[in-house]
Amino acid sequence: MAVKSRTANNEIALSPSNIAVLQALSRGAFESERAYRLRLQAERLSLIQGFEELLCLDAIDVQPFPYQVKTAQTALRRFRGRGLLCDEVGLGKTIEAGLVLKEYLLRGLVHKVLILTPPALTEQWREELTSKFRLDFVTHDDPPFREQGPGAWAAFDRVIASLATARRPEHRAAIEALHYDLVIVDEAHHLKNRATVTWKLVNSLQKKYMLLLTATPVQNDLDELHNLITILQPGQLKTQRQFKRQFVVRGDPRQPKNRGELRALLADVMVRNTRSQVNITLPRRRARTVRLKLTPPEAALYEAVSAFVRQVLQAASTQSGRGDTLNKFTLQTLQREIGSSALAARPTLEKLAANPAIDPERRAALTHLVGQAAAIDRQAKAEALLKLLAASDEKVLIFTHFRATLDYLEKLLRAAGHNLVVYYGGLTHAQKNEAIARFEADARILLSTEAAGEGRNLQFCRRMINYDLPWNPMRIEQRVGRIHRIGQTREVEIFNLSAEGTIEDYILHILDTKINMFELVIGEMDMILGNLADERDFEDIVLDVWARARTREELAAGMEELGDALVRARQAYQETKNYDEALFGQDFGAE
Amino acid sequence: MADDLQEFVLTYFDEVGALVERPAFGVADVLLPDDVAGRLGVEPLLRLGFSEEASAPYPDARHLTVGDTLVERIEEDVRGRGRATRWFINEVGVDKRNLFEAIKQAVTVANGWLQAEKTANEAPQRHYYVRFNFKVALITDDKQEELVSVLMDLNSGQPAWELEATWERVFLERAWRLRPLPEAPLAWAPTLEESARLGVQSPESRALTQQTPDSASTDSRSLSPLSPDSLARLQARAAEAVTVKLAPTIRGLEQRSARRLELDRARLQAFYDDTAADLERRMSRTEDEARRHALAEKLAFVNAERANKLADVEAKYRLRLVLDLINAALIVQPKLSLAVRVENRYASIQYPFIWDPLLHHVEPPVCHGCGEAHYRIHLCTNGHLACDDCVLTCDFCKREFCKLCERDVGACIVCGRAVCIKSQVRCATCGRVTCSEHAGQCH
Repeated sequence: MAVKSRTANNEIALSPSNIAVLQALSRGAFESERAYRLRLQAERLSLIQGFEELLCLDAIDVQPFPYQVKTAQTALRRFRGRGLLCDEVGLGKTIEAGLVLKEYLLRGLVHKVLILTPPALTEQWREELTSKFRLDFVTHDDPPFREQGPGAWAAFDRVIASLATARRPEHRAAIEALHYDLVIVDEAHHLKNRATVTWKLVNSLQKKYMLLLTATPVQNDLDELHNLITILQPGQLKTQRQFKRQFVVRGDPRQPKNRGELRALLADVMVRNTRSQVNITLPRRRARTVRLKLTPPEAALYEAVSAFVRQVLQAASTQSGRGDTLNKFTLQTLQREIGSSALAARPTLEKLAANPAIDPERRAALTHLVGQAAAIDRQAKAEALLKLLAASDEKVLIFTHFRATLDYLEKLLRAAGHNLVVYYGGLTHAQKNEAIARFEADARILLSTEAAGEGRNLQFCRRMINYDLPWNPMRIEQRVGRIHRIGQTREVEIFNLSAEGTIEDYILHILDTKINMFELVIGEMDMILGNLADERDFEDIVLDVWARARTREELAAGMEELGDALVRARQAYQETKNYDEALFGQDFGAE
Repeated sequence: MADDLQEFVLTYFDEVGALVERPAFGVADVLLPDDVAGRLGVEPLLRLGFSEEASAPYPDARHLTVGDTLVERIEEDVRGRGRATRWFINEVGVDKRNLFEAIKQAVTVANGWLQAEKTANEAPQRHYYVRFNFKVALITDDKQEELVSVLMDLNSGQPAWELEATWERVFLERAWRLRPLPEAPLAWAPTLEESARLGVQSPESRALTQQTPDSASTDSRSLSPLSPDSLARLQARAAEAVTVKLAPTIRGLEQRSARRLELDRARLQAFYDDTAADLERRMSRTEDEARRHALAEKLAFVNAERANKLADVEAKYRLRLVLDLINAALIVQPKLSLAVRVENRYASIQYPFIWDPLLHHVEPPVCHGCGEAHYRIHLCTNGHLACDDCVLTCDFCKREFCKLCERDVGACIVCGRAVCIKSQVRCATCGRVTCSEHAGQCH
């Protein structure tokens, strides 16, 4: 008869909501037996069992591949939530980490989460977690977060921050004082050196679970691997001195010895899927550049807008800026708009020309530019597009970044008798579904902004046209990824419309000719950009080169230099990739 | 799982007044009332399939699985109700011949005897059981959930293991068919504050005290059986009963967690021991004071880091149980009560013994010290009932006291033997207590 607690050392908590049931009993609020049994049945159906069956698969908006599910299960079950996910580039480490994160959240095992990424990837992480995993995160750049100062780290439970921000002294102290349930570090090869502030910060975090994500865990020598694993599981590879003695060939820090034993130790914390292992091969993709000359009025407008942008930027850089609202972001947008079409630039020009906060002299120049834009009646790119479309009757996905350009092209193409659907961020979910369905069914063209089909399956189409080119190569890669993805069986063709002498023309030259970007595997561009010594965003680097150049020759030289830097970054990435392949091979696939 | 789902969904539709037809095995045509269809966000006419195989010949059937939006909405709707229900056990005879003899046979008073009360009669009373249905989350670095039901006797405060074992055979009815009967009082102790004072307060009771702060000063025996306070106290005991039921699972999890913790601890300790030893070796070799100082600082840092990492893994593997009370059922049953005198040389009390006509036995009396029920009891000199574990005996006069009266039993300052308030000698000079043999030898 005696009831004795068998869990004397453990914590038992009664849920606060239990009181409602006791009150119902006490008040005599009795309901039918059937309602009572139904409630029990409902709970029985939703009972959480072991990780053999993932709950998150029914609660996400992405269809993960079996190897991604296996990887998540390996991280949950075998690694007990502390693992190094090292899949080859493009196999979806973010998806795997997202699955683990969502699973922990659904099971109530995780509440406070910190995701640390390189600066350029914070937004991408947020987007993916929202669109694919229905998870809302705040980034350190969000106004509500910034307003709270260092206290924000405690106030928000789901934060994405750049490593650079987190390691700043004022933030570091706040982060180190907290206890996180889960910490995810993307591009974790930035933790390769234990002497850095970044390594020390991540090592000192109080955390229950931790995922480190990198496609290249080892870049230069095996010490880097030791440093990564030590953050996850101190002692897994013993002390640094013991590790070197036992696992590194004397005199060659890149060469491992006792491989079998090392492999066994690594298998407790590391998973690495390779393309050949998971049998994911994509058909070839081919990029073609359609170079064209702008019409004289277009070329004049482009030159005039560019000169205006350059002049304001140069003035700002020499401290003689006039302190008006023409900030770098506005100027960059304007330059990108004029690269798309005069119609895209016109609203911005009008808005700026009417802005009393801007210097009158500049407003006069802007007013003149508005007039120039309004006078343009022929668009060379649009004409080239019509020709391109006439050459084949295959389905095609046309991308433009700007709504104004999209509206113009819609009218133009409809007038030319094309069967098309449009797709942009402002459509409702149902309208988007309908647009994709129509494109698959009978429409020949999907005319779309960047918002196009995040996570949508458009593999039935194999041709795309970049009407304008994003300056950020990652954006270009995302566009290509819409059709060059698992399920695509035919060769993919990418047409880039490029007007001579524009920034986009230079960017295309660098990305296509110098590093063959359009033939890279999705995700590799990111790695190459990560290898650039310059930590700024690529588009900022481009804009600076553009703004600094006083002559066309200087511009060409600056862009060439940037291209060379990218080539070196690509070589470095390739060397690392080869080294990691030789080191790990196919020994660490998810089981 | 598909069968469970089908049963759940169709029972729900039945409950909300839908019409259901079964054109084939595993397929159902459902006509929902408009308001229900609106609530669930579906058309009033539905064709549902509960397995891929069953749905295959019906392309218009919606194949339901766990996690389907419709199932989730039904679950949500269901969770808003069904918190409590009530059953009655009527099919029992509420009389018992020679009840006193039955009590004498069942109960042993270790230090006294039972005496029939001349004026007392067998009195039928209304007794209560509560069936608590908990969703129990067992959390370590992993989490699993189980539904656990425990049947508690509200009047005695004990888990009704025996009734639970025969639960499927008990005839439960929705209405009371007997004549009106008085409600039996609560017979169980200790109260929460007694538990705390005796040092037997469980984490569950502590959680309960936090849940019902106004209950801390109330003696459970003076409470109405169906008051929120008594139900909350019973819930705390039910939580303990859950841990008994889950003991094998809990033990398994504890062992697994302990093993993992041990491995992680060993790995961390070895790592930090080696790291520290290396630093110490370097310190002992260097003659440069500044370098020695830097190494000492590093060593202190390594030790602090070791403490943090050990705390991390301990927190990770600690087992926590979270009990979510899904719903509960009140079961009402008539029982017979007979007041019997429990006596010995020093005390005499009247205790209402209970005859359970369903299980055909006398219920064991409840120890006032620990609140547990035992057939073998002691009568405390101050009139409390105590079980073998809660008895304190004076080594000199052999009087017995319960834990509630422990302040009446001290220890001789000289020989250390237990000596009660009646047998002790208090020194007039130093005020200390001795037994009569050691009187005056205290200082």
